[in-house]
Amino acid sequence: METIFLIIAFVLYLASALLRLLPVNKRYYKLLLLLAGLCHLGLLITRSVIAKHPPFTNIYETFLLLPFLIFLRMALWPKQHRGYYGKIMNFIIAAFLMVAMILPADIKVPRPLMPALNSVWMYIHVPAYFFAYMALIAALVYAVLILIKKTDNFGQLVKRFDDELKIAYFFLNVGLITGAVWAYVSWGDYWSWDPKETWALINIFVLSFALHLKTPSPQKKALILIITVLTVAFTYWGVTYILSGLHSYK
Amino acid sequence: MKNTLIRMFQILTLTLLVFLAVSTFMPLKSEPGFLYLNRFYDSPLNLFLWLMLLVILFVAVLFKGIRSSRQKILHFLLAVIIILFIVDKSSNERFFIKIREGDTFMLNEVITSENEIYTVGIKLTRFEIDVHDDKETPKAYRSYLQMNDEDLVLEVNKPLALGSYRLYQSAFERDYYFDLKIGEDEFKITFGDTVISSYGNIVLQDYDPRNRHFRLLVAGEVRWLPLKTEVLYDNSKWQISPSGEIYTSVIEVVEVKGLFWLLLAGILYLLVMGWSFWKPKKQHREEV
Repeated sequence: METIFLIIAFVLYLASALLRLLPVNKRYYKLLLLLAGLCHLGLLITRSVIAKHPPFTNIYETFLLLPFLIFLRMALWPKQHRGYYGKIMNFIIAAFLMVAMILPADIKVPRPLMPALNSVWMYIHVPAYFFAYMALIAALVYAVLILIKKTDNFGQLVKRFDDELKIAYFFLNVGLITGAVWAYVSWGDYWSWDPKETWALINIFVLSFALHLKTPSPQKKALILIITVLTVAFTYWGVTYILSGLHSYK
Repeated sequence: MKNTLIRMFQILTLTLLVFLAVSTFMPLKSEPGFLYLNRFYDSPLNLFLWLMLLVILFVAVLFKGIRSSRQKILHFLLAVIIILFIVDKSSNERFFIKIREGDTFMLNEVITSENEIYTVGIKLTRFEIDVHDDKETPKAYRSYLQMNDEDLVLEVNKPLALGSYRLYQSAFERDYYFDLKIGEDEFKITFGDTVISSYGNIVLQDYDPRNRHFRLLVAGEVRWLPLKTEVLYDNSKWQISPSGEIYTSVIEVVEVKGLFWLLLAGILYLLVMGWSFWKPKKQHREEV
């Protein structure tokens, strides 16, 4: 059932993204997007019921939940998702689900939560990071558009890029602080210089460069944002698979 | 002034993040290596860089490096968080205690405070590993404790408070224990344990799985006992056989001092950041 929902949602997202490239009535791609979103919701509910916990505890579930949050943004703020930005975001959702489909079966097996993860703080700390990742993806698309100057309204693009950058920075901080509180409740130490913690701090340091420039320009900020996305990606996957530590939940 | 501070912040932060990033790839060793990279978080360089960052923050707040009042508060709070972090990390007591099932640990053996509430024995009555429906993945690790005749349960994510200390379920060890029969006497013994018998002190040292023999040290003399087989030594029948599992709970005892203030500063920091980032448009225009 889960796989069926996943395949249908992927096909519908991809179809809606491709339709956006063609000169057809907007209603068609919007309808496909809505149907894809409903299938996606069904997928997340199915996964949660099977796994007996919310779908944000491993890499596979990240590839399911993160694109759904992007879809929700598109559904709630359709005016912000017009033009190149909207088209790219639509393809990004489909790309996330495609990666979810091709991930090794071992990663997809739902596993019960280990004792340290059985905490109310998981429902605060993890979603905070998901909001940050969502804003980073949005900002990344804006950053690329800024660098290639592919836009009709550069001023508005820069303003939205700045907004996403602030949201990302804020939620990276919320994630770090709530993570520290959870670590204190769980391990008795709010900061252990564990690789994941250290890299979470590095992400904030890198992004803080964008807010502390001598001569700020959208292009400089865009470059810093791209570097931040790379360090965040390393924190999520690299630290989990390359560096061992307290946070090695694969 | 502002530009100089920003440049200093950039250089300092870049140095710090490069050292931090590289240190995460270094295997932890007890002895510090080149540039302390294998234990960078413990190094004087780490502390120095954070103190420098603190100086820049204070200079920026106090000497017009930052003009907006909200940004001043935000950076001041960040400086407060760094100070509280350094003080808390360098002054708090933290230690591990190990209690085997049935044993009692006197807390005042490790806590230096003369407060009477720490003159308490912690008895581990039972240790339990609760598992999920798959009967494989642990769901909870629980220590059933007795303190001052009160029954308490300690588990991961549910610490216990005792004065200014907190007790955490940190880890556990599983041992196998054996029934050692010598004539009419019976002893329960695990590897490394010493029991006192009429033949002197007996230590269970090792097990040779190939020959299925246990190695015992009896009053300093090595004796081999086959598994579940009676052997005559010194006119007495000796026999050793497996009896069951016994757990040792590893409990972390942590002193809590400035944690409330650190948490408060963290919450305020987030609130002020939100206030600073998303200020009402009217005021924003006035400031611009």
